[in-house]
Amino acid sequence: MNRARRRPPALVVVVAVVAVAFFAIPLVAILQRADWATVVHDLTTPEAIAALRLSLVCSVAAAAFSVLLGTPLAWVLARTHVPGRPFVRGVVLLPMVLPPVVGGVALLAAFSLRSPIGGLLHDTLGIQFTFSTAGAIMAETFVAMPFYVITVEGALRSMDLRFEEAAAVLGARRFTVFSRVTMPLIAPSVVAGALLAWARALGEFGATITFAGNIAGRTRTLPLAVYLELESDQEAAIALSLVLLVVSLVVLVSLRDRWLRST
Amino acid sequence: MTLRAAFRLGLGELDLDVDVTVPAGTVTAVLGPNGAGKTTLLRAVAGTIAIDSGSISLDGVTLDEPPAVFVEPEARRVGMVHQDYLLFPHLSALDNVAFGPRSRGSSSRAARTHARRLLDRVGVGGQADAKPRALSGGQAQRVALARALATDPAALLLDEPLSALDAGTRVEVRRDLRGYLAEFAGPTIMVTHDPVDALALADHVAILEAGRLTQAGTIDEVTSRPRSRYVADLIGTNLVHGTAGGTVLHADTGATFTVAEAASGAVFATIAPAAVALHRHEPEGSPRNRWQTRIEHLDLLGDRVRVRLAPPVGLVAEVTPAAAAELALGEGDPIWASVKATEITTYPR
Repeated sequence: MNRARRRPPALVVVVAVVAVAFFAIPLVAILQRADWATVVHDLTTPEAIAALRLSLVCSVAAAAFSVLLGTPLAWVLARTHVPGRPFVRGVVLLPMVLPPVVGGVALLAAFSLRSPIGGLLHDTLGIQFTFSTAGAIMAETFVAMPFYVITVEGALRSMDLRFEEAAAVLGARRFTVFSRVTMPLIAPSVVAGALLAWARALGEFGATITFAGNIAGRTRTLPLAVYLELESDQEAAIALSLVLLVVSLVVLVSLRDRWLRST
Repeated sequence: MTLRAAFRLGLGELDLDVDVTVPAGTVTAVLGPNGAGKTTLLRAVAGTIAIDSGSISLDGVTLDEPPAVFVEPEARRVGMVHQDYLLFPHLSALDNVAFGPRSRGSSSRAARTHARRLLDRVGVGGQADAKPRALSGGQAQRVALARALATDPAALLLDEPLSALDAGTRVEVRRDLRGYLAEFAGPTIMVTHDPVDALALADHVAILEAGRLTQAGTIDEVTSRPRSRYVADLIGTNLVHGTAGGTVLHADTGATFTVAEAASGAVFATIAPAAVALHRHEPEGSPRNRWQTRIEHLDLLGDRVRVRLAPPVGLVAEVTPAAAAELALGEGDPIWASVKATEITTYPR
């Protein structure tokens, strides 16, 4: 650091340290509470392994759906001038601020067996979302996709459109421009958005338990398992929490710069 | 294979209204100040922006003629070298050049073979596998040209092709570009703000100011008879708007000039800055144009000192630094200026 750089005011530093402590203390506490002798055992019980596997499957699927559905959505939000676009964006980003349990209730209203759409899907295609893994994936996608959309929309807005024009003049059709120029140029943000959505899906609790229920092996993902174990076996709950904590921290640290830049 | 663009297009502040015809095998340089609409003109021909009225045609095929016709850019046979080149940063130089042929239906292998040949031809075959950020300015310019030529375009559009280069590279790239343009069979439009580029590369120049073509013709025609302040400044001469009656010219600024050849009506007159002589005291002898005036501004320009005189004379004189020192010129000083009548060229407005 350059010596001429002025030091920050002491009061600001003190308050900032307090704020950091506010976040760090619970982290340290959970690490301290963990019984390291039994962590490995707690994480390798059949229930824990089932929850881990299910979490992995559901969160990866939710991230994949977010990319699949969210990329075209982000493109439309960034590039078109459809009427009512601010309203559309609001609807799409709502799950970011909505209490997840409310999201779960809304999903129930829309896709339970007793709802028109849910009933129709069940009768025609045999798909049932409530109390099924499909429902857990849907709930996670509902909550996680906005993180992907907002990241990729930002990247699409800030990219230099002249590259796309150059591609068109070279003879590329619209889809070729999209796949060979636009997507590669925003690839870092696509990866960042997908990772962010994945991390959010991994930690999803409220919408999942409300919509898909808490059924071992089918909808009981890690956070649900943590919640359940808390009643019976606190050590196991802490061990499972550690997994979520470490994964989330790794994702956030690896993304920090990208995420901050694109917003 | 003529390119004809006669159209009108509004874009924000810009109201572009032009009529340009570029015959096959010739280069027309479009010169003009920033914001005049030069790049927009190229974009309209390339099809990345639609015109409001008029028409653009290439080789007899109408590309844009509202409301009925609009050919998408990917269906136009136009090659473009963009300002800052716009090489795709995620593709190697080779894949940048192969992008066009690939998009137009060539196989991957054929496109790459073609691209390699073009890169060799423009002298950057050794950089085929390099990403654009690893290329020097001159290399990137050559790759951009190869990319534009790779689709075998019927017309070539160059947007400030040399402006991003440093002085040394520029001379070399300009010389090579001249060779490639001479080989190119179709019409070329080159946008530039550097008259040297126009002089070196173009057959015709068109001056675009605030969306209007203020002057067009061969370089000789335009530079010998500038019709706007912009052109006069480009070639470094004084331009006087006035009304002539016989050998007397009344400038719009209020000054009066005596000219050698009789003229009448609204005229332009040019006076080379070097032909404007400065004196500390009233000059004696032959000059019939002499004024007592004041020095408004002094500017050292290379090995010459440019002296702007106060209105109504308002001319720029050019003297050597030695002469400036001898006359002890200073801004605001009173000064005598004189111009021989034979040094003033007039032509109708």
